[in-house]
Amino acid sequence: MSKKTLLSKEEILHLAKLAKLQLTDEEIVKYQSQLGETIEYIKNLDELDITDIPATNSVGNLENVTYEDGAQSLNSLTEKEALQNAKKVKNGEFAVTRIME
Amino acid sequence: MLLGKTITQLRSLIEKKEITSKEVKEYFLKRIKKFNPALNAFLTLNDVEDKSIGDRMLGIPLAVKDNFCTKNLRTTASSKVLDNFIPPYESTVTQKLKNAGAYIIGKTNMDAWAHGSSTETSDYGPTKNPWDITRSPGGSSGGTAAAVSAYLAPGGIGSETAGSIRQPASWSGIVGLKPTYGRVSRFGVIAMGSSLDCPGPLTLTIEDAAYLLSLIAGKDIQDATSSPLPIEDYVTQMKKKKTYTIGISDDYFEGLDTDVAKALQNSIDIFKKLGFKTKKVKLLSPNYAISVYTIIQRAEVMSNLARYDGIRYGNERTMFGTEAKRRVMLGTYTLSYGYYDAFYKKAQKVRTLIIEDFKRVFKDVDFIIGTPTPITALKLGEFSKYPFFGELMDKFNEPGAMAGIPAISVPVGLDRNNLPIGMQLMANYFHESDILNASYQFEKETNFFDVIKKGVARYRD
Repeated sequence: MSKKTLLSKEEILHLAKLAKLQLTDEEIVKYQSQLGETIEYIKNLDELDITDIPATNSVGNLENVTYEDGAQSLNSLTEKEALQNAKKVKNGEFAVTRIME
Repeated sequence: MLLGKTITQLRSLIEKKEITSKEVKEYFLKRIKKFNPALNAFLTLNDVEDKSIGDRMLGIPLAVKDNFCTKNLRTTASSKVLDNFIPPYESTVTQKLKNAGAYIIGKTNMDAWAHGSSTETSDYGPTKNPWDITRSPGGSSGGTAAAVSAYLAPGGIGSETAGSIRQPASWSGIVGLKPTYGRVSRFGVIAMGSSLDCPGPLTLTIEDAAYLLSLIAGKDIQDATSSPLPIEDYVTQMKKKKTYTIGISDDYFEGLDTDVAKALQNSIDIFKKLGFKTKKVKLLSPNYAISVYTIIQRAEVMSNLARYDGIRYGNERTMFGTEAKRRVMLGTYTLSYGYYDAFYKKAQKVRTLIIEDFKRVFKDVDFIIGTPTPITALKLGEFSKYPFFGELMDKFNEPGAMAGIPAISVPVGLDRNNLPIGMQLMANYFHESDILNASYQFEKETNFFDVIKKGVARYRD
């Protein structure tokens, strides 16, 4: 971690926008160097030869895990249960802020 | 009279009617009231009367990490985003424990969203290490580890993404077992890194770990990644006399504190005395696993935390703490256009190398020995000085986590500051029985140098 990479303020704000996060001015400055430091470290993977190596998505070696035809979900919630943690509910549905005028 | 009794011993006492389930429950509730204010191990206590007394756990209380959804019992993952979240359903692990007759006595503190190795990123304040309350109990399952170490519960459940069971078990001086990925269902566990997350027991003895594993393991139709392989009778398997070959890789002995290194060498000598063989092996440097883990885990965190919209449940995304945001930001970076191949895809390929590396070595040896953490418990506040420090501290846990193999941490002594030291054994996929067998032999030989006994004795009734 000798080299110091800094992400630009614009890059940080762009990432925050993609992830729908609000950052304080202090966090923006902190993340510029902290993310840079981490990105610098993880470049050590370039030292390894990965030609022809397949990617691993899951370690379980399980394939095509499916339900039988006609299987019932064990985990359906009642309307009351599904809505019990919502802040705003209207006519038995989640209420959200209008996004189009 | 009950102080320090294991789950196995409590079951026997209840069966013989020397004590009732109700008395056991009240005993632990009393101890929690007395000691929890100083330790901050529990966030929520379960005062709902549970009348089902299954004959396998007989109403014995367990401490459960607060990222397991418990129906009608507040579950926060130690984040204010979920401050008021009451799950409408039960996780498979807690459902299985309840079916066995266990009493979920309370939900324990953790690093928020399990992001951390110290329980300090909790939005509800850090948990204190029962051995020294100015220090961290480790994390992210620090609340469960502290609760078991101080005997506020005779056993508990944690979860691991990379080290979150082994490391707090080590720092708090108890037993922590991380099973093979897929051995225990993830259904209803608040997701962190979905290709890594793994529930497991934290206990006072190997027998208790084996017993709890037998209760929570197995195929679950609600978790497609759970394994269909049959589960074993871990307690019976554990007690068969076997000898094994232990692999020693120099990379796993680098940068250790001198007391930790000494205790590990002593442990190797004890295994030799038990008739075990040792063999030098060469594994890929753990430094690569740090990078693979950092890339893949952050990517999965970013994806898993995207669901918290504050609409269906929970509070708004403005409530995320600085560590969660940092991880989401990095995950967003490595998955974004132009960086996907350079980071994420590359990490997935190196993950394959790590898996092949372990498979190769496990043709020659049964275990790889090491420690979950190169140093003993840090003072509270030390971690936050170095944001990437947690990953470096977990470097010995990350290779096994990336491969999804099982591992255990057991106490092997105290350092110069009277703090517990942990040893870890890693094994091939689904060899939990062998890990438990070797650890049980070690326990019978050493009684873990009385570390667990001394830890409990610090918190008299």
